[in-house]
Amino acid sequence: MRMWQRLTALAVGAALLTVTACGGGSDDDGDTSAGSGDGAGAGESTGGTFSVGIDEPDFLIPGRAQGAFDEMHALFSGLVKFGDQSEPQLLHAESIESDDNVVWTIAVKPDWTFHDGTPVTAQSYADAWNATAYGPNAWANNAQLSNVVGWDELNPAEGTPATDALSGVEVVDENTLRVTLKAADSQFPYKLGQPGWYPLPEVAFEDFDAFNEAPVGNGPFQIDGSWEHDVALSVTRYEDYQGPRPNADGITFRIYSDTTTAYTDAIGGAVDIVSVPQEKYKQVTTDFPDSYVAFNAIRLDWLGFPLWDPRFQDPRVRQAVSMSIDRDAVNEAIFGGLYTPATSYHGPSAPGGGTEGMCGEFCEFDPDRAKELLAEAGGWEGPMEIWFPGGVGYDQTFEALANQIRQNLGIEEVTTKSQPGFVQFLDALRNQQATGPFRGGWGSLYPSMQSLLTSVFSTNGDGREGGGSYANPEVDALITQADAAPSLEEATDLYKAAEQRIIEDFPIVPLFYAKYVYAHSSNVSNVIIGFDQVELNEVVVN
Amino acid sequence: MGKYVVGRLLQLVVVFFGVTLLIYLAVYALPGDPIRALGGDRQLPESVVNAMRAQFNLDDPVLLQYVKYLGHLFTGDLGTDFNGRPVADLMGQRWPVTIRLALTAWVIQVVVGIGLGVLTALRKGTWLDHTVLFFTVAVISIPVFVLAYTAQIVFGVRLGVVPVSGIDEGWPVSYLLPSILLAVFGLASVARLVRASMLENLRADYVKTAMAKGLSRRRVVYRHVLRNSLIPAVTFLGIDLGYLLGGTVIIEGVFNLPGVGQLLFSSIASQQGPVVVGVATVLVVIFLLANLVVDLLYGVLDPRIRHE
Repeated sequence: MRMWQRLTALAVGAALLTVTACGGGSDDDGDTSAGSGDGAGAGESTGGTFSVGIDEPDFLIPGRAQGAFDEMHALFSGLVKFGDQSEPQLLHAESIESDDNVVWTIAVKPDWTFHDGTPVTAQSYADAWNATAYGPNAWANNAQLSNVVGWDELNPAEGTPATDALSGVEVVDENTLRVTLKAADSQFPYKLGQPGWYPLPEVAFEDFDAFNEAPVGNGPFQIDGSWEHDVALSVTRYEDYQGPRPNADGITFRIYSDTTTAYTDAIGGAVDIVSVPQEKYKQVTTDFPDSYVAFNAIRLDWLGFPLWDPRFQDPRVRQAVSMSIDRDAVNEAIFGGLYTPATSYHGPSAPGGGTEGMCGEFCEFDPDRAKELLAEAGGWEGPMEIWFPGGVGYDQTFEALANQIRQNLGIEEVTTKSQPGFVQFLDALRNQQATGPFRGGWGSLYPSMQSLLTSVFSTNGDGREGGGSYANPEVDALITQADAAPSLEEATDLYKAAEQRIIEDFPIVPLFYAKYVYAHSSNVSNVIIGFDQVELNEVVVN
Repeated sequence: MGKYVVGRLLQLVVVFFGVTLLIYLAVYALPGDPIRALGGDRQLPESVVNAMRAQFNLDDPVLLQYVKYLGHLFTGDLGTDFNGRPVADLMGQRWPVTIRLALTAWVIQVVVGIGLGVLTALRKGTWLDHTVLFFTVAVISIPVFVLAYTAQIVFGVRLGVVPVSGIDEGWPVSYLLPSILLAVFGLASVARLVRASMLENLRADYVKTAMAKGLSRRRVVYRHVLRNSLIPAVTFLGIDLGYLLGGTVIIEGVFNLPGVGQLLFSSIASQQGPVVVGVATVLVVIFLLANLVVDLLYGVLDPRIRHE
């Protein structure tokens, strides 16, 4: 139902994807995709148009949009892209450099134009960043710029800001920007792939609302007409695009209120590429035997705990819960075996993530040891309540988890506390009203361990409620060190050290490295999914 | 009659204020902070939350919010949703879809429902009567989800005679299957109401009298029996039209029809007050008008209850 829009916006908005398996039902983590990369786009286009099933976007202005990644990457191009690589590839940027991880110099390629013919310059970026970071605009991606000097002045706790520009952003010349950060950030180039860092043309600033209906972007495709709300969004190839040339002449994004309907439409051949809804994971291998693709999202799903509740203070209680869950069984029953049971606190798709067995015995299914641990921690009195937002696709999963805990931990009364919706669920976490283990998950917007670790497990993280408001100064220190590390390798090692330290405290029960699953019709081939979702430029219309 | 209509219309005004206030209070009585929830697992910065709360008057007391809402309403401003889309535009886009769907379904109910009712009443006890009874019971007892998805797979995907979803092919092609599915449930009720009522009336004294006076059976059945048997069906159809226009979340969702049912559902879930109040108010007015028409129709069908 239409609720899916918000849910998927959350889920998709939270996730960027990497290829791990390509059709044919293979589920290993080897990269089996072929023919990817920018080179394929350099030659002649193969023409034709295809369609992609999407949710109704909230906005199309990158700084404001929380989902809409496919549409956005058609209409806009940022400084970097990821494709199916886990390191940033320069797209519009010529170079991104820093000596100290604090002051960054970004050069952009000349001769790029917006769809109205005006040039994309350093100023186009600076203007867009200022608009995104300006508090009163209330753009959702505002926080992506929060580490830039001057962000605090644009976002005072009370009242209107005295200025409307980030003092840390300096336009050096037409094609050069200098960005000064509040704190060193070794992962800054990764972050530039986030929509808050995209450019906007001058025309956008005349009227944001009007611009949002028919954005003038700088991407490989330009909008054809305007956004037909709840129905469709059509784009055609932008012939003056200076990046890799798309194969197709145009794309129609068909808007669905229900992902199951989009899936059925794909079976009927009315739409070419769709994201497969979770309840169809078990069916997709038979419905689309040669044309489904499963991607390793940079997403971890977990069970969080009310760490403020004395009954959950002892880590052994949380470890016992973890060992009572047969992840393989839940994976088969709910996700058709497409997910990967987690054995660490970060999925494998970012450098340093997915360390096999980092979690040790605590992520293994062992009911006897689980009961022992629980007894050592003083046992359990009364009911254990599992919290999750109801009616938005989680019901089955959390019923299954509750059953596992009930059967394997010997707690007679394990009940589910399904909340009326996301709004109420998030409120219960924020106000610390949850009384038992709850649904947790984080999708990173860029393939670096920094995102999950900082947002969920640092003292000031913007997603720490989902981790039970965990805080540990040692973890904070390790993350800060990693952020300031002189090389990416050193940074990765320090992030892993932080992960290890968090696992010792065991604030959450990691469950799965999630995947996002796409299916496509026989009308298209070379469907590759990368961190930026569907690689639209690569799709070939048969 | 004129005075009666004016009186009823005046009642509408009172009900309008009462209902909008109730809906407003209901939406804001829901627990949770809709603005913070927009960020999902990521908290939005305080400055962004504050700016949005101010934009939607969410920091005012509920009654003041309501007064502000009414004030804007009288200048023709229905407000916007959280994505900045005017509620008037949302409704302007979605009402036509729902109206087409509802009216198509309703006409199918009227024609087929009353037709089957008359037919089965006149052929009581025959194989036709039993078959219709069987199928109407069977259909009513299948959950709408199952019926809708099955029909979609069979007629849309396998046979390909109708579009699987969407409104691309316009009326009637895109609306046919969803309308029939919507109509099926009401249709069964209408047919059974008409049948029962007809059977009762066929045994009435006035029918015997009319027959004895030598009127043709055709004239007796259609002019007298049917007319007198329609009152329960008209009551049902009038209210049913209101329900149909309320949008059907399930059918609209399954067939991806951007109508008001979906809009209302998602707006309640995300607690978007202005959208919920706008849509629900129009619905209330439609319901009240439909009831008024039904009441007036009684008088046409049965002179004894005419409103003088």
